[in-house]
Amino acid sequence: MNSSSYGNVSWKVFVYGTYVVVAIFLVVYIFFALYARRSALKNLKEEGFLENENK
Amino acid sequence: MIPKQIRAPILRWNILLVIFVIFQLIGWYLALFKIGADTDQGNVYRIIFVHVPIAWCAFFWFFFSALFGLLALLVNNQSVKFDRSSHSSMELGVLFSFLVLVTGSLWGKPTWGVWWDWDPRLTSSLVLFLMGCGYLLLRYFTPNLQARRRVSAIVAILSAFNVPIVYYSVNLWRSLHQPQTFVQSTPNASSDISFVLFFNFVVTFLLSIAIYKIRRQAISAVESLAEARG
Repeated sequence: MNSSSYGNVSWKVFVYGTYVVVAIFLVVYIFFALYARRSALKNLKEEGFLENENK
Repeated sequence: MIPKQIRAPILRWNILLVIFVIFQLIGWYLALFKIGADTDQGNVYRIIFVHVPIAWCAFFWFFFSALFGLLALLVNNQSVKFDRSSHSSMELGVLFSFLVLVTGSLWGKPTWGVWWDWDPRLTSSLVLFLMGCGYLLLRYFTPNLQARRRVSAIVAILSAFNVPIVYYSVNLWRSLHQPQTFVQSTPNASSDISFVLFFNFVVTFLLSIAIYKIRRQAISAVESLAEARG
């Protein structure tokens, strides 16, 4: 098998493409989790639900 | 000011997340630039270093979700805690099973000539992903808290039964997909490939634990807010 290309497309498109896709999904999910945690904690604090725990 | 007992684990897992991301980048660097090409597939086999660790992580998180679901059913006074853990694990299971399908497809095109085939391994992996999606939809559309916990736990346990089917599908049926690489009687991967693959598995799994903890903290905060508001 010719390892340098597949049809007219280089192997780099598939290999780097795979890593880029995985990285993008992981980064987006991490930021989504961080944002959800931050906004829920912010709301808990603003609405005074964390007051008792500070005492 | 957010209390210290809440701030401390948040800070701890933020730091661990950064460390594990760096480890993951090192793993990918080794896979892309330090390991030689394969004799049969050339360079395109490098997808294995991301595809296989992600598949193993998907299996693990589906299993953990079922385990936490089972505990949520059995331990009544801790069911809230275990239900949140089961939910967070299932989200990761769905994310990783989706990425398995995408990375597998990107590997399939240059090696098999097709993006998708209704092969037993691919089809059972798709079913696993759809079961995870079903779990998340069911949670979203079940307003009663008690019912949601029970139904979610049952679906999580049922989903985990599909994991061994996915894993052994390449042995049980005639499959286009290659058999397991590291369980055959004679080694079929060189030691450097095995090392980099194992390293990538460990770092991807560590990274997934950090993501799980952050998502678990987020789910905890969101549900605590909803409960506090009544």
